[in-house]
Amino acid sequence: MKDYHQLLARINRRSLQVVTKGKGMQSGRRKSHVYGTSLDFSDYKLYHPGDDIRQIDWNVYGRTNKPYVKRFLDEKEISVTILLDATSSMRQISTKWELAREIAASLSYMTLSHEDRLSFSAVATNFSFHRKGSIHNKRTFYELVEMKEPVVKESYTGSLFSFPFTKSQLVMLITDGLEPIPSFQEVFKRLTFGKQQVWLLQVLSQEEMNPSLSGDFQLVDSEVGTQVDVSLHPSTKNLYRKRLDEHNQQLSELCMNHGIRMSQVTDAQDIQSILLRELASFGLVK
Amino acid sequence: MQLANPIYFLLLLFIILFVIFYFFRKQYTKQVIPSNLLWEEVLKEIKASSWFHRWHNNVLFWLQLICLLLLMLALVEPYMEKETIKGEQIILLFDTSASMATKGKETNRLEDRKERALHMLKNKQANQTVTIMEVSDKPEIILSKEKDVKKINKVIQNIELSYTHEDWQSAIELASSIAKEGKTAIHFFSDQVNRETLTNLQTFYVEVHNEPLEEENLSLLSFGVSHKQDKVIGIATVENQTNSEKKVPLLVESEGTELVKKELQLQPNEKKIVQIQDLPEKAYYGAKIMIKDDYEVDNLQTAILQKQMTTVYASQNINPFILKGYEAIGLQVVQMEKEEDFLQKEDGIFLLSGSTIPENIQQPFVFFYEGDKKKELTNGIESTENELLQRVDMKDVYIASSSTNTIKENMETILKSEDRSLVQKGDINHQPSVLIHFDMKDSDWPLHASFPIFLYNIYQWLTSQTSYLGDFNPLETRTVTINSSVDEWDIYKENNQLLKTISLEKDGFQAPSYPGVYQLTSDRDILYFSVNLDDREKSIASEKSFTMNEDQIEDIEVSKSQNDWIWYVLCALVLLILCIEWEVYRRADNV
Repeated sequence: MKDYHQLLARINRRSLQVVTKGKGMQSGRRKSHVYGTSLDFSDYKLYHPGDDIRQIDWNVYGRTNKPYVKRFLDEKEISVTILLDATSSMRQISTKWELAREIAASLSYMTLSHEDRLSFSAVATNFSFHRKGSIHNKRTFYELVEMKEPVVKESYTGSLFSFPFTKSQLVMLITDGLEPIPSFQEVFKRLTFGKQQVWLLQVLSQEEMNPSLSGDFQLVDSEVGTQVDVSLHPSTKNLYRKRLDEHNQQLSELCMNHGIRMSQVTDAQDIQSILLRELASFGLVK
Repeated sequence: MQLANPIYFLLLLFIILFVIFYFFRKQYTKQVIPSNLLWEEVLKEIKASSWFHRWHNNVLFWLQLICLLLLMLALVEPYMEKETIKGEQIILLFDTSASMATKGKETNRLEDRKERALHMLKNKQANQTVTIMEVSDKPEIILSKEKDVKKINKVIQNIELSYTHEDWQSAIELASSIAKEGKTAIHFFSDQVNRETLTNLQTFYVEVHNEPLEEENLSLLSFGVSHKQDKVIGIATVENQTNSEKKVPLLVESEGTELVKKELQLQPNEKKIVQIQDLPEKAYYGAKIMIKDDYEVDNLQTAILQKQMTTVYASQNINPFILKGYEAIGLQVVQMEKEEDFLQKEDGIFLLSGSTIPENIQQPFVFFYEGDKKKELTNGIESTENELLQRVDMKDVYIASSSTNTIKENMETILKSEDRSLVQKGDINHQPSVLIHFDMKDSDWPLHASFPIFLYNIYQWLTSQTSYLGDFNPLETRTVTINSSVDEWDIYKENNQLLKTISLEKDGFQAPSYPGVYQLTSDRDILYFSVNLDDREKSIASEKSFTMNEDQIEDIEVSKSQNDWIWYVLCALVLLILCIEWEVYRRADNV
């Protein structure tokens, strides 16, 4: 088991960036556009009968002879949904699967540490939960890193299509994106319906980007078991890479059209650098 | 059930080959990967983009179609009509005469013709028979109605020059006797055959292969020597058969030593007669023109000083049995009226009779006693071992009486009764002579079969008293009686190269074919003989090729076996296409 203390220490201070203000019911650490009781000053407003007289700023009254009420911003929680692709295609390559779980766990940890509400679901399995509060952060982190939930369904997009979403400010999709573009389109339509902010993290392994195999292979799909006989020559590998680029290009265009931000990571990268540099530069992690 | 061609079980090898092919087909390793999504698309792309995959189904279709078509073609056994030789029976006549030794395209004319015949026979069909005749002075059939090409080719290759003069008349008679009208094609491989020669062959299809080339020849037409007032002079006729002026040395030699050399200047087509004076007296003379022309065998001619004695001069009163005997041998017998006439004759054997031995005769002679001074024989006849009595049986011969006063002391007695000589041989005036000391009238010998043999032995002995055996035509066979007990003789060429060893008793004597001077040697003796070309073979002019009586031949049915190979080729193609098809299938199905 890897030592995650350093990672946890470094991401403890980080939080997930959300464009929308906190809309949650319970208080949290996120500024809300609703006036509330936080320490953050918002604005002044003339007193009207019915306002809390405790909030009249007497210093301003002294200077202007008009009663002004000093208002503060309220601090609210936000709801974050993490949808980790747990189909066989993710699990087939262990490094890829490990990276995907680490990312999911780290993001969950950051969410919980920031007193936000977390809805986690390992798509295609029966594993899902709703949690809030930093009290759960480490437990959740390790739970996710060590997740060994069996697969029950074999399609990420297919599962998402019938997924019972709760409305949240931030939805994070962690997947390899190796499913037909049209099915992603259907899912995206549903996800972006409620002005939710959606991130797509595409996790690919190096082996998938640049196949190292060569010779004659009967390739078996890990999910549906279809077989393809291929002679892996440099030329066919080139064609494959081209096709992968094309696929990713289509996926990113689709994301752009739906206002979804997409980022691609590979198992060649270190989890820390992914979180603290890649995702930070993309504006997901602050 | 029987198997007609069990050899074709060898084709099982192909099955083994195919099984091996099967083992080498593409083997795919199973590999589980996250998703085939992209690979499937890549494959679709490859299949969509490559012409091979676009067409592979069609390729298989076409290949199979071609396969079946080729198999069908193989079964119908196609054959091409090749240019064939005409005639069911083909008669080839090869001229082996001396003029065929003329330089041709390759070695000589005969080799050229042989080459041409072999080339022609490549188109021979299996049902055509070939008869080959060698045309020399005695034309003979050397291969009769043969179908096997290998045998035919071997016989043709073994034909050699005979250096004789070809006898077309009997060759054509022989050929037409075996030829069938309308079915036989006669081919002449010669140099000088023309339409006049072939007038008797009007009912047969005839092709003459002559092939004239530009050839140069100088010929020593004739050469002779004779006595003229104690001297020997020679006369040679040299002809320049070329169209340019030639300088040529004429050489006369004998027994390996050069006697005279003369430089001649000859105008184009000039015939020159050259006289050579003051030759030393030799047994024979060889004349040579020292030039390298296209026909070399006519550059040599030998001559003998001593005339070959083919005439027998007999005195008036000689026993007619003796005359008949010599006529039977084939000699010309001339009876002389006067004794003095003998002195003028130089080229014959004399048959003399009388009571005394003549003293002044300068020629070989046989003396037959005729007279009254004789004494009766009391005892039987004893013969000695002598060549004169070879194959002569004296057992039953009766001789009543003999002369006693004609016996010469210094001569060898070969037949006697008690101590009285009956027949003697030896030299008189340095000339060989035979003395018969009894009157033929007193004996029944002329009635015996051995008498002509005895006469012939006398003739042979009298004429063979020189070291020169005679002048022969190429390959001439002649009985040669040599006064020697040795039977094994070696024939050497002029340059002392052994040609062959013969046994005169067993083999008889046959002259070599190549013109020139030869030595016949045993332990002690060296005899010379020469082989001279026939005078008709001293020109190398050649005629053009032509074909005669083309309407006299029926077309023959072309046999199919000629083109057997086509279906082999087709089957091989089918096999090849099967292999291609297999490869296409292998590739097309699995990229």
